[in-house]
Amino acid sequence: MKIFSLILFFILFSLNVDAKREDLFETHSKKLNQQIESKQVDNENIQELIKKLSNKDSLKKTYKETSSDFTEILKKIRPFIIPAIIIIWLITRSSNKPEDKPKKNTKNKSSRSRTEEFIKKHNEDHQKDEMTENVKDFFEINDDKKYDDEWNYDQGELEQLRIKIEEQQAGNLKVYDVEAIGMLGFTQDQVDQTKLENEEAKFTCYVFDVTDENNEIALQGLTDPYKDDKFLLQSNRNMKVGFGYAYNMWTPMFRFPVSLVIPPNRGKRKIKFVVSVTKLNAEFENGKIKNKKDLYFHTETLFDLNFEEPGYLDAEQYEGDINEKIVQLGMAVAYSEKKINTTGIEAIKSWINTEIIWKNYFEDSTDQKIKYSFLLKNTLELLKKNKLSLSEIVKEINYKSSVSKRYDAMNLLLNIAGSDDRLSKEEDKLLNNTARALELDLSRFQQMKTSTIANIETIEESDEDSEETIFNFSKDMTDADKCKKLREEYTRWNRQTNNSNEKIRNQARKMVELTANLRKKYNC
Amino acid sequence: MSKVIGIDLGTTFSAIASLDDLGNPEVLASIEDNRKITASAVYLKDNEVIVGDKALNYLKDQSNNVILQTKREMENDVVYSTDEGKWVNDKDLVDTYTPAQVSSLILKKLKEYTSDVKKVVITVPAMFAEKARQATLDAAKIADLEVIELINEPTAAVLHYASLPGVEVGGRVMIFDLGGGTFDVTFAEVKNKKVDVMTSRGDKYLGGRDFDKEITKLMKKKYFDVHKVEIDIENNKEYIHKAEEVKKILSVKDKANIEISGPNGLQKIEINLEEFEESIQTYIEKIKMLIEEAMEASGMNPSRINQTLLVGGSTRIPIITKVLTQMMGKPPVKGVNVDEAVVCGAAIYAGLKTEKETLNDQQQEALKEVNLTDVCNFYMGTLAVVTDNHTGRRVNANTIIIERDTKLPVSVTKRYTTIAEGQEELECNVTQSEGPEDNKEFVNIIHEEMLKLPKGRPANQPIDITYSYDESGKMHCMFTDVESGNSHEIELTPETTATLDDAKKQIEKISIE
Repeated sequence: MKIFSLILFFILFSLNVDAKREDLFETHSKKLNQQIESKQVDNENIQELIKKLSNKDSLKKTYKETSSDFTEILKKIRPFIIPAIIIIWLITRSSNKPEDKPKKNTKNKSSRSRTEEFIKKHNEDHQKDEMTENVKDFFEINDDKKYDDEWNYDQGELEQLRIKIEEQQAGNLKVYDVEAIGMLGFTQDQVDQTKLENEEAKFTCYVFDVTDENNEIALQGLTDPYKDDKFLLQSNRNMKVGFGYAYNMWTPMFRFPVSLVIPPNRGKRKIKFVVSVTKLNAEFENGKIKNKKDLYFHTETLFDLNFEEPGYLDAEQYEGDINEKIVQLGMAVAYSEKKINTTGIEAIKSWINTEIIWKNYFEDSTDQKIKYSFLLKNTLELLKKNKLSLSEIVKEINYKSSVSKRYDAMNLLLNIAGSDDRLSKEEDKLLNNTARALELDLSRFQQMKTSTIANIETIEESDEDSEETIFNFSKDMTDADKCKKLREEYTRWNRQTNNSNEKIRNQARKMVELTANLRKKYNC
Repeated sequence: MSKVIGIDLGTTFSAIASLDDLGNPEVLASIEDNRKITASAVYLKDNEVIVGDKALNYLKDQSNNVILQTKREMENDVVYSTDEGKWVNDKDLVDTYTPAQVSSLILKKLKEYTSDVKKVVITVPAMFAEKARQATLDAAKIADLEVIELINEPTAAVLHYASLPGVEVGGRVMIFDLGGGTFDVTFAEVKNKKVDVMTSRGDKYLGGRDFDKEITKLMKKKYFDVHKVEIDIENNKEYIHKAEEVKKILSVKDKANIEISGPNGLQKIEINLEEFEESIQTYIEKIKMLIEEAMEASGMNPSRINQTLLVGGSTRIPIITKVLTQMMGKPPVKGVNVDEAVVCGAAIYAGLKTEKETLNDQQQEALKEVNLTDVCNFYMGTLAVVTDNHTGRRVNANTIIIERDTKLPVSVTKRYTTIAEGQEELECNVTQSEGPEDNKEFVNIIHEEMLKLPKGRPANQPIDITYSYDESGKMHCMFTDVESGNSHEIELTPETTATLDDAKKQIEKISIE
């Protein structure tokens, strides 16, 4: 830039002076050229040069002595004097701190194209039913060249960096994007500090529930990579920083799956997202920076959330109740043929051990063991007397548990049903009805059931409609709907006739036959 | 000079073809009986082997020693036991042969139909999994054949159709390939001799042999109606042979009369076309579903398909033409030898892929305008930890890197990250699936190895995974740790293993008749 400016300066002048003053100007130009060639434009020289150039009188004097029409020349060059001074001023300014030169947007990317690029990349990474491998995939943070692309740079005046929250659909995954806009606005000291850390800063985002103004609670995070070492919900990334870095449009900076943002309680909540920009080794405690000296700045935003599921405190409170209800539901599946499926009971016991006893490993489990032993026995009695209300159980589960817990419950029920290597019609019907009652996504449920069916030996075909039960046909389905569904099932199973697992392969062949036979029945 | 050879290694019949001096494919006939198609039947006893139609003569008295439908076992870990007369899992039994070994005997037989055979193109069903393709390559190695490339059967067939003088093939075409053991439906765009495959769907358990089985069930019922005694259609392979005769008759007549033997002696029975068509309805439904699926996958509908091209002997069955005409709104193209289309296409492809100096000027001229673009028939992916969109939990699942029906050659790089602090190893899995599966149970892991990573690094280190797939279906995978540059390259090509050497030695002891 310096070289370009000097050349421009030189050209402007050389184009507008006549031959008579060439000799005189040559001296200056030579000096200039020497400086350009050596590429060592030190401050003293530049100051001297500016002094000479700004000392128009002396220059004029010299010209007057050598040329009678110098006034005319001056008229000619007048339009270029101010730009030239500006250019020189810029050179001088940049020469003072050459390394702090602001970055300009040389990429000429419009806001629109940035968004499209992001969406395109985003869609590429979330094709079909696939979820993101890792939130950082979207940002590709590890390549230096990519860092340059992260910031949009300044286009006109921008305010200090601020954030907002946007709920987005990333493939099948609902996410909260933490989007940012504005200048990074580092001070000189801060920039100097980042130079000690490879011109990088750490950006960390924590999420708080601030519904109760007096009791700010950092949300919990149990899932990598959205958790810190104290199991609080957070995300962080290191980014290149410097003067002039900015987002000139709303740009996603962090992304949290919606399912991970769980407030303490159900209902209308105020959620605060806080992005802290810190030294690389900055540490956090309860979502707040430990040493304020490590903090460059922070920005935050509030987000209104209507959380219809139980929060994590609710879940903790209800956990015991929910586990009992799930066990009762499991017993209902194990007893669905009006006789006890012993392998199913084993599956329930194994679930109790994993989900309840093992999770409370350091506590005395005797009471729990006794409690669940009684529960199994009592539930069996109720089932035998036909006095267990499944609808009440499901209602309670729906109110008190999260969606993921309900999928866990369904997983248990499928394990129980498949534990004896066969799926009876009664079991199947109960599973289908329970999936609907638990308000699960039915296509997802069918996928889960496919996995169970693939691993068992026998699917019972006791009467006419048992085949339809396997594919979870609902009463309101027309024959055309059933034909379509059967083709989907055929496709699903035909693909598995290539499976390297012989058991799955054989089961797939049976299911392929079943779908084709049913298609015949419905005259598809 | 070695010849340019294509081989159709079929479930019920196999054939070999070469390019003649003018560059036209020519199916080679057996020296013994001058037949151009050879039954894929192998008679094996005491190191003596008979391959082809003659082997079928032993079905009556020594059916345990006759091996049929080997192609259907190519992906399975089974061996044929001549003691038990079937494919079994127990590899410790004596006198057993792997599917690759039995197939190699068929290949060796075909090799005898001409001299100077070294390099060949072999056809496989479009939906053949990696393991079955590998077994086919193993069979070729045991038979001392160097495989230039494997080509999908419907792709080979459409190449032949596109190159045929006198047959007008153009626009969007459906290749309907119903052979003895497998069914493939492929959509392609044909312009002059340029073939652009769009998608393929298939069923490895749908073919003429299944129709034969349905006929044996009718035979069993009819014998029982008269004698109140059942014939053993499961274990007596002769009935299958008889059923095939019935099927052939019913392809040209309304009824077939045959004589079958049973516990109460010989019985004449009659099977009519209506009974036969009713018995194979389930298979017809499967065919219809696969066509629907392939159309959906390629964004086609019957009105956008210009022609239906028939391939495979089972397309001679009248109901097939009826169904296709009904579904597509126009009858399929006739006049091509449906038994030879695949092998002829394989010979053309061999011509395309062989070194130029192997071909004379006329051959080069004939192949000048032939061009083929194929697609990847599977989803290729890897296992990774992802977020379950229903539960929000992190689960180990399959993620797709190359989509099915992507034009070949293709190279795709996707970025993943390490998940744990101090992670020192990365499991490099290559998965293959017919559907966009996320459930790892439903994909085949075709390769797995560990990549060492530098110690003491935080989580989220970027890992670039690049999959490159060439036209022949060979895959090259690269797992790279971006920061350290450590990488792991996987070439998914066949390697001669000790087992394969042993298999070869065992086969070399056998003399083929």
